Order: sequence, then structure tokens, then C-alpha cells
Amino acid sequence: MRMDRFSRWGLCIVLGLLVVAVAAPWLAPYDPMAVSLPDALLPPSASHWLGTDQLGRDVLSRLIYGSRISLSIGFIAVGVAVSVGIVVGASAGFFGGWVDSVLMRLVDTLLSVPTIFLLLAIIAVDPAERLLALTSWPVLGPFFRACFQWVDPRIVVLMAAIGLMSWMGVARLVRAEILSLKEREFVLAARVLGASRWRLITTHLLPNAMGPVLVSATLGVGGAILTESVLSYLGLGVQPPTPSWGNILNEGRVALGVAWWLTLSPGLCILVTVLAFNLLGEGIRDRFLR
Amino acid sequence: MALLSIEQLTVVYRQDGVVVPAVDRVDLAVEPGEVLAVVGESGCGKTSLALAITNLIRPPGEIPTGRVLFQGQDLLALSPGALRDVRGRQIGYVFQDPASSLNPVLSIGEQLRETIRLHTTLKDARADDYAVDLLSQVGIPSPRERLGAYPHELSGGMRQRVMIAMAIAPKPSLVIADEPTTALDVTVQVQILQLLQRLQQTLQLSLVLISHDLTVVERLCHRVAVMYAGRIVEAGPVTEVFQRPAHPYTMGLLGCRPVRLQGVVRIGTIEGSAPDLTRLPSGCAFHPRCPVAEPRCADALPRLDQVGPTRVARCLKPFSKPGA
Amino acid sequence: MPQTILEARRLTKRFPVRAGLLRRATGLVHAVEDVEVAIPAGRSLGLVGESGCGKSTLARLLVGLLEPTDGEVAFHGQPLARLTKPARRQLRREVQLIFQDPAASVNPRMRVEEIVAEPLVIHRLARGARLDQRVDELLQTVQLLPALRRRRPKDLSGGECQRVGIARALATDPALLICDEPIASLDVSVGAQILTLLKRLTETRGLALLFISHDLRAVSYLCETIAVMYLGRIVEQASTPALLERPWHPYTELLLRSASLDLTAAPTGERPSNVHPPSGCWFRTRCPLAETVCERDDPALLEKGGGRLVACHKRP
Repeated sequence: MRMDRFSRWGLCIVLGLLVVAVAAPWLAPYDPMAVSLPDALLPPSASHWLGTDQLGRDVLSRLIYGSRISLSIGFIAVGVAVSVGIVVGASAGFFGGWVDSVLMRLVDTLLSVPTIFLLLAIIAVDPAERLLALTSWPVLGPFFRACFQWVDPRIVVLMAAIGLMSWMGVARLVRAEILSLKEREFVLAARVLGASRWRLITTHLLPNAMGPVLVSATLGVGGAILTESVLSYLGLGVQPPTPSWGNILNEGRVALGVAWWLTLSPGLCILVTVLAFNLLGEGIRDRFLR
Repeated sequence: MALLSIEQLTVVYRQDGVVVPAVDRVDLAVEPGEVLAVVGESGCGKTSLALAITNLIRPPGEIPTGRVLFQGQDLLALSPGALRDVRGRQIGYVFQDPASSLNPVLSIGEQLRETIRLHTTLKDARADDYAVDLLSQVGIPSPRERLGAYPHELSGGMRQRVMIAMAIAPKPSLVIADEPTTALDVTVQVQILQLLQRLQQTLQLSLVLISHDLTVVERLCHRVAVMYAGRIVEAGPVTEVFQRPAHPYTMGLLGCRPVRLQGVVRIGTIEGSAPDLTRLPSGCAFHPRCPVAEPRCADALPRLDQVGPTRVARCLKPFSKPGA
Repeated sequence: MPQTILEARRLTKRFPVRAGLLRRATGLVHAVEDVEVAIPAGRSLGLVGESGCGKSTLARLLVGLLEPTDGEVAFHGQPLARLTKPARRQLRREVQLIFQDPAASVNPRMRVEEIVAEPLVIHRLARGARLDQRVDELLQTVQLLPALRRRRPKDLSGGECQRVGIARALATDPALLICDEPIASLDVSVGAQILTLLKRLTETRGLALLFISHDLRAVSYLCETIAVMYLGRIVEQASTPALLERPWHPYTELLLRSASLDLTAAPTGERPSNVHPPSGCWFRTRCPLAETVCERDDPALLEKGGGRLVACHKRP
């Protein structure tokens, strides 16, 4: 792959993180939830490479498990953003007319609302409760219960919320690409061949519009991880004891003077991860700019 | 002495570790007041050749060998400053697409004045007068009023006239025109060619015309050099080469023009397609497509041999007609 | 009497010119003006004109990619605007288009075999092994090696891309092929190969052809009849030998002289803008025969005998 050195590093780090997240149970030296008060606030040592927190939990293990949260939030948030963005952007770009006007005014409106307020609004509605209510549905109830065993519905809400805050940018990108692609000769050729509108969008327009979206998506993962960290830092994100890089950072805040490792390690993780995704995104963009 | 003498000029492009020989040891000469055509299809190296004359090749392209003697001086050995003096002042360029060669945010008057300021000693009002004079020389009506016009307000033909005005402003002795009329309508082509012919005669210019259009070459040029796969395969006076082509590729090219015989329009073709410059056939690069090729044509690259008093051709069987 | 496949009746297309901050329509571009042209089955018609004369717009109007401002296009006698869905599908099968820029006319993310198979897939004409077979046959018809099947357009030359475009157009066994400047962006020898291919196809398949080009020589090779367009109007239409032998309309004369690049010809002036065309006959500003009647009245395209149509006051 014709990517320069930095993008290759980005790719390696991202892949490495994925491995860490998946292999967490095998990689983490301790149980991230194991409380051990006598071992509280130990600095980095041979037995605890990154020290322990106020409850004696091993920081390294918590970071490793925290990567699962951060990465899944990153991917799912971006997944939501991209899916909604593509549907809205493609519809606006392809159909034009009043569809375009209505959708773009919606995008503009949402973009002018400060994201924090949007998030607070979403969280205040307490969608988690409503999600839990899904478990009592007649047929799909057990299915939802199984899902929620695996991932806390509150986290799902968080991921969706972050995603719903960023789909607007994707929508604009997709719309712009579709608008310019619509006039290209191969699209006209497809119309003359008799291609249906569905075929035009799915076979001809969208695949060629994906370049900028892909770049935006990789950069968006970094952004989503940062947003999660900020939210957790504010106490609004992932709730302890579930470890996420953001809430480890938050917990470390009080002990900053005494236990610098509690802040430095999650901070570095976030920094490196966001940087890696950004480099990867640049590499993908360079490759697509042919 | 020839005004321009190109000796063994080579241009290569390096990409992903592959070396593409765009121009392969080309020898060409242009006499004062002569119009030389360089003819070929895409990929034959003619544009690289045109740029290489004044060392305009940039990485990943490079000029490993060759000399370009202009009035006795090797342009490729000049310092960038000295070369800039030659380029633009003594050698002018006219490119194919005037829309992209003219700055869309500057009026044509401003662009003309810039050229005049750079390459002549005229300033202010004298420069303006000269600009108006140039515009009328190239046939633009109401030139003084047109100085303030922007490129997008002009038609393609007008824009090309402005390009030509900019090229001749410093009174060069040589103008290199790369496909100057290809992007223009046929009625406008005639006008631009007439203009070039007139200017060439009145200003005693030498002209190197790069083109793929043999009819243009026939009308305007004295001598022609045919290029294929980076090499010159035939050169000589236009009338002789067109009436009795020596190289089979020249023959094929001439045959590709539709011609009307006894009320029926016929067209000839050349088999196959242009070679991949990174994987040239051995020996004569044209032999896989040549209707009179023999096994020995693949053995070694034929030399550019004399086939007439002022004609050369790179072929082991010059003047052979297919089927003969 | 062969059946007419496509016919333009008083076809007009005007585009608004938008200027200023509020993008108000300040004028109209008369791209196509009152054009009447018919393409019968099995016959070849050439449409010649310079840039801006409306020939590409006409091509798009004929296949329904654009809606006319006035007049209509009829497919087998039925106006396009009132076609039923099955009739529209039939239109898409019977009438195909070849574009000027071969690389731009194919989806850069599709492979050759997918591009050529697309019409068969859209119209459900073949599937599976039969589809593969048809693709092979089509590639063979346009003389493309089967080895190119899996290639992407960026790995093809201009000539190869155009052949792919032609193979795709032939997939539904169309009755009419509309070619919009198909060799303009190709090399001379490659263009000659494409022209020869098109000629062979029209002869062996009885394909009707509308060949649009600025190149009079190419048009005269392929077409039985030639129509000359100027500023959106047809100014002359005649059989190819008759047109080349004795052009009647002064613009046709000008075109023929220019095509031979006769540098001794007198200057011919600039083409007027098609937003503000001259009054009366639109060619009068460049016409050596112009008179007062030419300033006043717009000449109609009239039959002048022997199948020749001319729009000129001075050529009765």
C-alpha cells in the first residue's frame, strides 16, 4: 500500500489497539475490577507496571479493558454517524428539490446547537430506561436481554448519542460528492442504459462518493474517543466501575499531585490513539487523492 | 548555423522504481526562419521534447543526457538565471489550452504588461502602447478597449491569440507551439494558423510546431519529424515526406485520414496499439504493428539512415508499400 | 419505408443564464432551436457542427436525459414525455449512447466485465453462465482481448475504454446508436480503428447511427446523410455525396473549406453568442451573401429537391 511512513505507523497502532481490545482477558495481568485497598495508589513497579488507583485496582489492566470501551464507542459512534449521514446526504444530493432543502435545513439547525447541550438533552431523557424496557417485549425480549448482558445499554446510548451529534458533517460531505458525481458521464451513461434510481445510487454514486467519507470516518473515530473521554471526565459518560480511559482520567484528577500515573497513562493512551487514527485517515486520504 | 540544434536528447521519468524512456536520444535541428513540425500520437514523447528544450522537465522526469544548442549555447548547461533569460525572451511558448494557460483573475492587459515588463525595457505607457500593438498584430479587434477584458470573456480563439501575443512580445527568435489549435473549432483553427503563418513570415520567426494533426502540418510547416515511442522515425521536407513517406508508421498515419476517392470515403488503420514505454518491443519499436515487418526488424534498433538528400528514416525497408 | 426510431419535432432547449448575487435569469442560451430531425431504422445520419452549436444537447434530448423547453422527441411515434413504463424500458434497450470521453463514461470502480454486463443485468436479459458468454461475445465483437475482463478503466488506454463503451452499448442489441464525438479525445490511429469498427457494426447489424462530430471527414466516412448545425439550428441536410460535392448553405461551405485547412481563405469572423443571437438569419454576420432579407427574416429549413433541406434565403 502506497502509504507513507506516518500513516503506516498509524495503521500499526490501530491494529495493535484492536488486538489489545479483543485479547484483553489474556493480556491484562489483573482483574480490572479487583479492589485491594491495601495496594491503593502504588506507583509503577514491577508487579504493577502502571501503578494502582485509589481502590488498589491495577491501572494497566483497567486501561487494557478500557480500550474496549473507547474503541467500541469510537467505531459505533462513527458507524451511526456515517450510516445516518450517508442516508441523509445521498437523499438530499440525489433527489434535490424540496427533499434537499428540508434535509439541509435540518442539518444546519442541528449544527447550530452546541453539542454539549444536545448530549445533555439526550441523556436527560434517560433513553437507557426505555432501552431496558425493550427486554420485556414479547418476542424480541430475550434477544435484547442477551445483548444488554454483553454491553450496558447506557453505553449503547452514549455511543449512539455521540454518533448522532456528528452525522451532519458526513451528510454534507456525501451530498457534495453526490451532487458532483451526478453530472459525470458514467452516471449519465447508466441512466441511458436504463438503470433504476436505486441502482444509480448504490452501484454508481455511493461507491464513488466513499473516499471523503472514509477519511472523515477515520478522523471521526479519534473525535468520538475524545468526546467520550470528555464526557466521562465530566461524569456524564461511562460510569465506574466500568473502566474507560475517560473515567480513569477523571478519577485520577483528585489524586493528581500524589499519583501522576493515574492521569498520565490514560492521557497518553488517548493521545496516541487519536493521533494514530488521524494519521491513518490522512494516509487513506492521500491514497484516494490518486 | 542552425538556430536550434538538439543532440542526443534523452528524457526519462522515474516512477515506483520503473524508468520510462519518454524521449530517446533525439537529434533535431531548426534553421532560422524555418517551421519544423514534430508529429506523433500520445505517448510518443513530443511534449516532453518540447519542454526539455528549455529544461522545463521536473521530477519525476529528468534529462540524463543530451545537449540543446541554441545559437551556439547549450541551454541544458546554463544556470537557472541565464536560462530564465533565454526562456520567454528568446524562446517563446504557446500551449494547447489557453483557458488553463491564462490566469483567470488577471485581465489580459495585466498579463501582457507583466510579460512586457519582464522581458523588455518598456514601462508604463510605452508598455501599454506595445501591448495594444501586439493585440492588433494578432488580430484582436478594438485592442485598447480589450486590455481590461478577462480571459473568460473571450472566446477560445481570442484567448489563443492573446497567448500568441504574449509569446511574441519579447520578439523571440524561436517559438515552440504545442498543439496550439487542437482545442479550437475548425473555423477558428484556420484563423489561428493563418495568424501563425503571417507572424512567422513577418517576424522571421522559427517555429517548432508540435501536433498530431497532419493536415495542420501540411499547411504550415517546411520540415517534419515523426516520433514514435520516444524516437524520431522519419524526418524531412513536408511535401516529400507526405507524398512519399519512407517509414511505415508515417505511411499508416497518413492513411488514417478519411479520403474521398470516386465518391467513396475510405479510411486506413494501423493495427494494434501504442507500445507500453516500459516494455518496448526489441529492435524497431513499430515492428509488431508494421505491415511490412520482417524477423530482422526485431533484432536491433535501426539507425536513422539517409533516404534522400535531406531526409532520414529509421527503417530497414524504407518506402516499402504493404502488399508490394 | 423504414420505420423511424427517433424523431425530433420542433425541438427546442433553452437554458437560463443566471447572473448576479441573486442568480436571476438574465438571458437564455438558445442551445437547440426548433430542430426537426428523424432517424429511420438502419440508416446513418451525421450531425456536424462546431462547439456550442448544440449537438451534444440534442443528443441528450433525444435520449431523454434532458427535458425540452418546447417541442418533443418521439420514439416510434410516441412522445417521450408520455411513454409508458414498458415503452421507456424499450427505449433504453433500443437506443444507446457512446460518449466523448471514454474514461469518464465508465464507472471507475467497476471492472470491464461488470461494465459490459450491466445492461444485460438491468434488463434481465441474461444470468450466470449465459451472462458470461454474452460478455465474451461482446468483447470479441469490439476486438478486445478476453484477458481485459478483470481490468479497471484506469488500466485501459483511451481506445480500449471506448471499445468497452461500445460493447456495453451493443449489449441490448440496440436499433440505434448515438455517438457523441466518440473519437475527439483519441489519437488519430486509434480513432481510425474505432471508426472502422463502427462502420463494420452498422453494416453487419443493420444498426441505425446518429454520429455527432465536429470532424466532417469522419462523419462523411460513416454516414449516408449529413445535417449541419449552427447555433442550435439545422441549416442544411443532404446526402453525404451531395453535401460534399455541392454545399448549398454558406456555413456548410465555410465548414468544408475550413476542414481542408485552406490557409488562403478570407477571414470569417467570430461566432455570435447564442444568448443574444442576431436578428433574422443567425449566420448573417459571417455570411458573404447576406442581404436585407437575411436581417429581417429567419429562414426556415425547406426541402429543395433531391432530399436536400436548406435554411437560407439566398439558396432557393
